[in-house]
Amino acid sequence: MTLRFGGATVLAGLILLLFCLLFYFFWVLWQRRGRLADIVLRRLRPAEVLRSLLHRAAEMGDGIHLSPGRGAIHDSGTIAETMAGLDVLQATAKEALAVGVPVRATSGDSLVAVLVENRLEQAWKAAGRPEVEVQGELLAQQDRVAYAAGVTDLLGRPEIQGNVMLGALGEEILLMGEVGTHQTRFQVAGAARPVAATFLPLFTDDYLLGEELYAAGAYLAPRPERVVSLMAQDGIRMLLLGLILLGTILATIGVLENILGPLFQGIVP
Amino acid sequence: MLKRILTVIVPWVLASTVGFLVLLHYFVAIPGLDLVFNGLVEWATIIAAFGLLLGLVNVARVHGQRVVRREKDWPYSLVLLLSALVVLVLGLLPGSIGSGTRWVQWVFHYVLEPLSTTFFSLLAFFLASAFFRSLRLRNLEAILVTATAAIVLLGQVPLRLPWPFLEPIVRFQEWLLEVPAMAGIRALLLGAGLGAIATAIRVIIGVDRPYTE
Repeated sequence: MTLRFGGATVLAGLILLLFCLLFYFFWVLWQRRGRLADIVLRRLRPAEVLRSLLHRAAEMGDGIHLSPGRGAIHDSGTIAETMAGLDVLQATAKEALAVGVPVRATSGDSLVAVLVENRLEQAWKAAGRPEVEVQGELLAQQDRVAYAAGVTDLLGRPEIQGNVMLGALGEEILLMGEVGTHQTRFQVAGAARPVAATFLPLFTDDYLLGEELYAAGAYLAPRPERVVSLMAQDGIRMLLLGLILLGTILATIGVLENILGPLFQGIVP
Repeated sequence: MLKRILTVIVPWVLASTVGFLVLLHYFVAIPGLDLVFNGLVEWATIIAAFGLLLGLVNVARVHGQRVVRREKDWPYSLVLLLSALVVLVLGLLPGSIGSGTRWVQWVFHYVLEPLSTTFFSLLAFFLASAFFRSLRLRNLEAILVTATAAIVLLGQVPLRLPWPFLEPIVRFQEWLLEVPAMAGIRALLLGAGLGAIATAIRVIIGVDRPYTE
């Protein structure tokens, strides 16, 4: 048994270890004090306004479109974003159905479509409004153009007046978002990939960038494990921020290269 | 009790074990673990292939019902079903080699690709429309995106024109791409990576069980 001991592996291992420690620490703190999240969690405006947007949709008699993106769960490049998107989809669908807003959900992968159906069913059961319409739809099989074409068609229908897209999406988010701007009353969008994140401010004010996508689930369905995980995530983020600042200062005064440089060799490709 | 074991505990143990083994393979080289890892990856591929089949059946069912019931826009559903059938038949013809078959390739090259390219080329127009609207609304972030895009576009004009005033713009766009844009991209990727780690750890240690909920 040998360790695969490269620079990137060490860093990944340290982050994993630190995350587990912080998770445990916050979990214990949560058990002892409770409601710690109210003090520690940062504000996430889109997640906060989503609820009021859904209530407005209920008053207007509108339906909404939900999308966890076009990612796949058997693809390591998109699985995390897709799972975060599914969490948001379920929480949003539950909120929407509870206030009587019909839901149409779409997906761009056949396995994700099965999960979407499952999440919608749970949301429908939890909402306790069996008369409200809910439907999941598979629009394409990992084809961004076909998926975008399907969603733009859906957004053009008069019964759909809200669009919530959070998950694994690329440049095609602009195609859908632009149509949504003209055809719907509100849009909430989120993407972790830089190529999609760049376009978000162009078509909505309520957008989630990068890691906010993963945090949204904890705001919409604040279960203890998600909130505690978010707090651990924030803790590591702050630590990395401090390390980057420290590294910048050390590199500026020429210390990093001579002393710390050899330790971090191989981390940066 | 038996239902709970089958629907909650067994999937949880399976998911956690598999997740832990794959994670361990990333950090430690143990003889035999490579074999397990490769086997698991193969299983994932096979399950994904069955997922594709499931998707095809689902699409056929949904659109078939639309056609039979003459629901709204049913002709589109008919076109979808016929297209799927044609490609399927072409791929299954005697002597064919699936997606490598000449006629399947023809469909991809002369039907699917032009359609995709045409639709995606609309992105430029959508982008222009979004830029103009954000300028009108005086949205600061959108104005910054627009101004940056304009500078980068100007800086990357392939024509070598004898206009000295373009030189500072070229240098500025290079700096924009290499420093602020790169810093932003790295920040986004770092945050997204942390989020992905958090999601994965929650599933591996079993506090988040999306497969049993």
